[in-house]
Amino acid sequence: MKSRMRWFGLIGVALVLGVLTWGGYQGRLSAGYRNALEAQYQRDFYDLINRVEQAQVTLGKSVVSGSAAHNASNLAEVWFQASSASDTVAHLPLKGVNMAATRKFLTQVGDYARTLSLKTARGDNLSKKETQQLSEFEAEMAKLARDLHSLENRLGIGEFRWASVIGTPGMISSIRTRTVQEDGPGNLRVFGDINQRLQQLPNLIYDGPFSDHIEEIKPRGLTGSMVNQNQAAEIARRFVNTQQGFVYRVTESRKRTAGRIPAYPFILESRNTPGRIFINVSEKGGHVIMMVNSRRVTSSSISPEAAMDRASRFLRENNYSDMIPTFAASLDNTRVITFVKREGNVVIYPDQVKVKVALDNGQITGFDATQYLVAHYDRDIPSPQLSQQEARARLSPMIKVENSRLALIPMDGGREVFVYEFRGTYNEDVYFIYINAKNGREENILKLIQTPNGELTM
Amino acid sequence: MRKTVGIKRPIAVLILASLLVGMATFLAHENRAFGQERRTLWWGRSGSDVRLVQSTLSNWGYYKGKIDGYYAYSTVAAVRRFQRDAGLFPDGVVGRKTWEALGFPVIARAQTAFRPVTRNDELSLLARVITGEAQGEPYEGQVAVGAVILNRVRHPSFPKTLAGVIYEPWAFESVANGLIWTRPISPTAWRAAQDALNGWDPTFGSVFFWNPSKPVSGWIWTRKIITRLGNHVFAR
Repeated sequence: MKSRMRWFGLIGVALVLGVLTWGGYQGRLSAGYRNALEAQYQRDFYDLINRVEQAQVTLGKSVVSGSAAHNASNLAEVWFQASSASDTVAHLPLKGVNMAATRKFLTQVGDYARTLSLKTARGDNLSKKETQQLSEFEAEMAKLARDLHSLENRLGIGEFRWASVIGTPGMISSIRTRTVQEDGPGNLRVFGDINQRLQQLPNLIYDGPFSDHIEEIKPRGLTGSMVNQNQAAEIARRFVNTQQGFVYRVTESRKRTAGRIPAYPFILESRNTPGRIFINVSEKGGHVIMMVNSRRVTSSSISPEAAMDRASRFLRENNYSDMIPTFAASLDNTRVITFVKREGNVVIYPDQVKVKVALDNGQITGFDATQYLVAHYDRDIPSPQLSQQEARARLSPMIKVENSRLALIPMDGGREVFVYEFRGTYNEDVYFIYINAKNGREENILKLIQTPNGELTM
Repeated sequence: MRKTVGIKRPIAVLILASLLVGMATFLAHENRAFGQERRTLWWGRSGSDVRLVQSTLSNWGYYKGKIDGYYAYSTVAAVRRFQRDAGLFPDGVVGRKTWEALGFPVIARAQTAFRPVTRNDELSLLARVITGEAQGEPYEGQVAVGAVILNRVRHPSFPKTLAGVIYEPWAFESVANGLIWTRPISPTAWRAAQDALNGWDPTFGSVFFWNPSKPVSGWIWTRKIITRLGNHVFAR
């Protein structure tokens, strides 16, 4: 009896010790994780300070430099440091702090510097206004560096640890997307203050992809008069039912969307075919902007060529004339084909439409004209000032040219440039090189990335 | 002399007990099946991915045994039968082709070392987050979540790479709570990710989405709301 009691006691002690061992193991494990995490965040934070300081210093140099050629490299350095800083901000665990304005500032400084770097690389000097802008950026960068140092002081004496931000329980459920108050908690407040200050900066308009004017470009392809929801529903129904053998009804009409292209969304369903169709019809002009069909296609019975014919016919039926295919790819028994507009002998790349064809029965299961509707208008196509031969003489001897044609291509900042498009090969890779048809400048190079089922159709 | 024996035994028990507990802890950590990077399975393996194979084969009538997560004789035989019917070499090993035949696409790897196709990597990452964030949403809602992530890549206030956007601390709930690693990618999310990567965007350039029935901070409502799809509000 007594020995049995003693056994129970011993097992009890064994269990307690077992739990203690387990707890100790867990404790050491989490301390290991915490230290690894802290090291990462410390590195990111010090990298951030470093990049902001470097950007500030180089911005200063770019203001005082008198040599366009030298400034091209200064500005490229600003671009690198500022955009790295923007990325690094996104690594830090800034829980509860909205950093949108800070990151936008860093991205735009980098992007602006890149645009000017290209300009100076061509031998042009900076304008007075551009130099002024760089000097304002330098001042902002200096304030940013100062604020980051104030937090660095507290990190240095161990008053604050980044990993402690992670450990707070209950944070996961309350945080979704980038929710949050403007001023973050405690030690992170300095970031909230930075962000508030940078939010006050005026809009920046220049020739780069992150310029503020890009957001405000008005869609040019939305012609025609306003339609109401009933008319839009009728347009959606007809668009879907032009395809033989399918009868879809509108089963849901949604509230008009806000944003750049106000549109009416609809859901259409059919009694005899699976799949729900989601479609957006623009309020202005009643254009079908995009359509997706959720149907899963499980087999292929029609050829890629037949799918191409099907898509071309579909575009003609819907008043998209003179569209030529540029790229097609097969994915899961569907074929996605990109078409662009052709005017005369000029390929208009900004006017782009995508069509998705189901390879089991040829149904059009996807359509996207967003880009076309934003970009398309009646353009005056100029005549080239360079001959094809002259343009070709500007190409690198490394490239073996296969063919060429005239094209209009979209550039950063929403501009369009009139170019010669050269398709050529180097090391079995296909490249597209774009030479400005007016001044012979090399505007862009695209490399074709080979994907298993994709192919160029030009 | 007798006393020492009496003390030694409990110590042995203690050591044994702590060892057992320690081992159990280790196993709990090591044995977790990891997302979609599917392991190759053969005789002797165990885990939740084995259970997945067993339950799939059992639904299709190939496997009659217990769904116990152990890859033993009956599982090997069932896999062989399935492979024969699926036109695969009946080796009883669940590799990439067999996983695919079972309906679980394995992350596609770049084709060759020197000519990488990055979009395949992007596709599985995007599909994973769509599964984590929008499982059960209507199809267009899943495409929309993919589109928001891609719109962020092109927006000045967000990181410039897909991984940068997705792994930004607290940007996505399913990344923060680990759901993207544990939920298998759904075939619908896979197609939605393809459509989003091909440029389909039902949200007109939105960079935020949230479920208004869950607690969100007031700040988010100051954004311009573009549309609502399924349970999510989309804004920029």
